[in-house]
Amino acid sequence: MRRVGDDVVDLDDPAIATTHVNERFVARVCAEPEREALASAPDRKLRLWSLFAAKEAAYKAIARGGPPLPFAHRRFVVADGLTSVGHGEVELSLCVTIDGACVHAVAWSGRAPPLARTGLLRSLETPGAAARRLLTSCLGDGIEVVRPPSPGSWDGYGPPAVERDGAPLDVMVSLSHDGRFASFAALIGIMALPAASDPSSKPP
Amino acid sequence: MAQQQEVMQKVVDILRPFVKSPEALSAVSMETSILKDLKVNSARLVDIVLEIEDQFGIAVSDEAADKVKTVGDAVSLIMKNAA
Repeated sequence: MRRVGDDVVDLDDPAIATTHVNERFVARVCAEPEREALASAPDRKLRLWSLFAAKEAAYKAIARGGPPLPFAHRRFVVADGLTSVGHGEVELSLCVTIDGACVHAVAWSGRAPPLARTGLLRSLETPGAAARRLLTSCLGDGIEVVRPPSPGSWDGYGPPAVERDGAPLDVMVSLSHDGRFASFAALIGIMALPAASDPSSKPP
Repeated sequence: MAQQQEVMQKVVDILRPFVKSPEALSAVSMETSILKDLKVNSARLVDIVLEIEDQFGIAVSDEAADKVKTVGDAVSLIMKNAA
């Protein structure tokens, strides 16, 4: 089963300015090896929120389409090099990037890494609209992100699905936003690529 | 019932600093979703669980914390642990 999840954290949010020195928060979020690494990290704030975003991304990826999964951050264990994240028997690849003042984590299954972007929200733009704009800028016009109803989920909707001109696209997408930033990560099937990138549309 | 109201008021007081739009709390009820209606993110939810532990002198397990979706869930959790 393909899986992808992402999470973005605005590092300049005043609400998280000192969270990295809150030992109880750290203990609630981090597994024991992570706490040890965090204690000696040169930038504890960046390390904590990299771990946090990685766990959130992995949760989204694993919970998607599967049975209900209780979320306890410390049960998602992030490899020391931030290259993978595991939960039970499931191991996902991980990429954590710092882009401006945000940290963006992407967790996925399979070999090919997802397409991923972060960006700032524009004036008066909703976070959801910003994430969809970023996705559209990569996949081309005519893209719609829809969320089918899912009564058991936290907000009543299921994972986002992508359509072009009303037809479903072979794209598994994760959207995230926090503070001034929005992001997405997408596993894209070859048929979903925009025409300009479609290998079958070679010039004569 | 009076005790439930008292606990609910304390929960609302705990939530207040973590809610970006104070007006969202004006119509708060037991059914109010902390994530969806109050737009509290998951990092702040961890802070809220820690605050509940502090103010009510209880320990909240990972499993119990995960079940807190609404204000009513938090009230029930507290009353169950305090019983």
